[in-house]
Amino acid sequence: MTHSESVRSELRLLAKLPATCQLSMLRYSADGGLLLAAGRDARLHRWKLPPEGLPLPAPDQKQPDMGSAESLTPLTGHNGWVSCLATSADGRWLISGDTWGRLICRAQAADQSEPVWQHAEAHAGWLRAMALSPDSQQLATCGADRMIRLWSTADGSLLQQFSGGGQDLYALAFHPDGNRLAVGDLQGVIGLWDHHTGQSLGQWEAREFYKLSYIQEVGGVRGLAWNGAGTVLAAAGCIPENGGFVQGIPALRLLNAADGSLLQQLKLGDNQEGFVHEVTWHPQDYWMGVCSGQPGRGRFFLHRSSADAPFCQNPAPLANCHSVALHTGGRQVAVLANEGTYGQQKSMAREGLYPGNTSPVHLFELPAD
Amino acid sequence: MQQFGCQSMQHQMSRRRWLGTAAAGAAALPLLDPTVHAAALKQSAKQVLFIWLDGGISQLESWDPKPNTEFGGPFRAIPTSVPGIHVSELLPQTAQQMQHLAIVRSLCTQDNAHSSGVDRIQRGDPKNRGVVYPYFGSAVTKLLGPNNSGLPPYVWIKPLSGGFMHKDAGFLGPQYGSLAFGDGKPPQNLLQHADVTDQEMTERLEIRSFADRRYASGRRTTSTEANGFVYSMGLELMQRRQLFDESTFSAMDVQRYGTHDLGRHMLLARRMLEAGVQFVKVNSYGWDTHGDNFNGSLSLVRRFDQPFAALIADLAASGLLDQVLVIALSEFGRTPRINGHLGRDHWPEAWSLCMAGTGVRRGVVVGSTSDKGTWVTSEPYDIGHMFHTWFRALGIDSQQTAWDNGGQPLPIAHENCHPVMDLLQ
Repeated sequence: MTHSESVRSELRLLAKLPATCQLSMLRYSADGGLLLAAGRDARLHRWKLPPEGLPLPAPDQKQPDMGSAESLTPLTGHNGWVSCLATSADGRWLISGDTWGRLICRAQAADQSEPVWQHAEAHAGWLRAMALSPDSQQLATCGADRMIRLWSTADGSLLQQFSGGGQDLYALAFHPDGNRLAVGDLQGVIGLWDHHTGQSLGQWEAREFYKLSYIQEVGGVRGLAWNGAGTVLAAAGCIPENGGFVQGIPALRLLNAADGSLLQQLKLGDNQEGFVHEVTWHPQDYWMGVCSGQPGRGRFFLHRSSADAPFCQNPAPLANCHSVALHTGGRQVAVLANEGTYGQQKSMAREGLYPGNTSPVHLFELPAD
Repeated sequence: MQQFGCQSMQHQMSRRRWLGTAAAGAAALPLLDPTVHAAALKQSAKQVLFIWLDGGISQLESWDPKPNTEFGGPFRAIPTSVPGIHVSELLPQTAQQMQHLAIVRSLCTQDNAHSSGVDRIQRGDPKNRGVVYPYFGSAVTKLLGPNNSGLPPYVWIKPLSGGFMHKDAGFLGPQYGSLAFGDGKPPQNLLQHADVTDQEMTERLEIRSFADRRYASGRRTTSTEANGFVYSMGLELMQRRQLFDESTFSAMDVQRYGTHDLGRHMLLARRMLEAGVQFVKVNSYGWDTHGDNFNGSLSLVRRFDQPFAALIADLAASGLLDQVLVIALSEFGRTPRINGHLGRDHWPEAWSLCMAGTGVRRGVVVGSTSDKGTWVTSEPYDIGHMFHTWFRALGIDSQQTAWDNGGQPLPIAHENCHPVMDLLQ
């Protein structure tokens, strides 16, 4: 991060929640009282929190612990990895998808674990992303099967389905007006769709997020988010240098929603790092995102569209960050940092000691505006 | 070709002419036991396709899936054409060819570094005796002896550049190196110049041969012999350059194998086998998936699956699979543990390969790993076991045959290993 020396950092670490496995995504419940995590152990992990958010730790506390967060029993029912999840703003639904294509809708309440509805094969294989419409009436999903599907959140009925353009689909986001759906694919194409009819409304470019390295297709649009007014679309990804290791420049492209033109391309590291994995919009007019890098160079950043660099990022090193969720109150965030012990210690394996890596969750207090 | 720079024609001599005129000097070269050599000649119809996935294919995303386990990753296992055998869902077409295949899931090798591992695996990781063993391709072409294809015995189809790769040959001498076709293209400047008539070409060759013989009579080295061999290969390829004409592949085959590098190269490999090349190595690069392994495997493994399945099906349909030994492997597997970049690192402790063809049992899995794929739970096999097995599949008794390295007898495969009989017909 070339601008790190000049970046103002006012994040305050509130708690670090240990995880028993690697996680892929975080979301808060609508009332702020639950933090949910998609597990790469086929389970949904949950922590109960004070709905108003965690209190600040004591000034003399050096290593934050779980604070007042309480770990709840994980929810089962998935296979492979739980790859994505969504919580409806009306507080009713908790919806999760997995890499085997299963889609499960449950009630958001902590004491509810039985599915309200589910589809064992909502997609043929890896269910990549989901998004709820602004009124929470519809759920959009996309997958490695290159399909986009719309579901009724009330009963799980399939409302619409159409091909997303022939490539593995990685990310999607409803426009705030509820009339457009942006879908990003492996090759850096962002399709705009009228999800009511399945008609294409155009394509925007993020081709820099793609590279064919020998026979490996590298990159893809890994995250999409609109700003509150729906005037800017942020696309998260990487400008790849190579396959194999998959290194490149974590990057954020901000596109003009009027015509898809590039407003800004923000580079968040050098060419030996990873992806911006997720981006989301904060109501106080800035973007929040997370990216991966070489060990200890993962980042959580806050960025205003008009600036040439983030105005805030994590003060202490983080592992590879894969997801960020904004607490209901808008003052706190949860950041998933995917810690990564190198895997090759074979002597440990011979002794039967071969623990997997985990993704502890960091809860931060955002800086005052 | 490029490395040896055949411009200096007076230094060139065909391998056959050399062998014909300098037989007396052959005793200085490493040779087989005569009885074994005679036996090998009878086996000259045997061929090998050696598919090298450079960097390390993940066994968990291919031959040894562990779905719904801690290190199993996101993918499912799918059934194959052989009841009870499952492979990763990233191998849907190969799964339909399982009746021809043998999977080894119990490889446990010694090296977790690319730089040394590639050599150790392709040379069979013999005991260190201070000599450089030949790559498997060089060993096979030496042991099987020449066939009558009129083509180079050991070709290597690979991305990027080509040339004559003498280092493959180790102590066998550089003439047993591989001729690499960069991106499946023939050596540059292969065509006879338009201004040179056939008569003029013949005369030039005679002059070159004469000069070569005179030069070799006083300065003979394995390198000069290799130079001559390369020139001879160039002449052979001039006669067979149509092999490289991609426009002559059927549109259906191009579609079946895939238009990506590996698809094109595997289709060319089929043609080389059909033309009688004894040992064809196909390389694919970029398998070192330390980061984003699972999205990477979606590309990589599927692009292996498509041409591999097509080629196995074609070889089986044509009957060539009865004489061709097919092997697909890397220098090691990948770690069960998933790192922070969602990659898998190097793992020689418990990995897999796939083989098929002559001498090999079909529709079998040999060996097993623990529930999480961390280590081998059956008899572990090193690459030496595989060399013994492959030689045996080709009709070569690996435990009775020895190299003669200038009087130094050397086993052709690690003497502490043995053929895996469960893999052999």
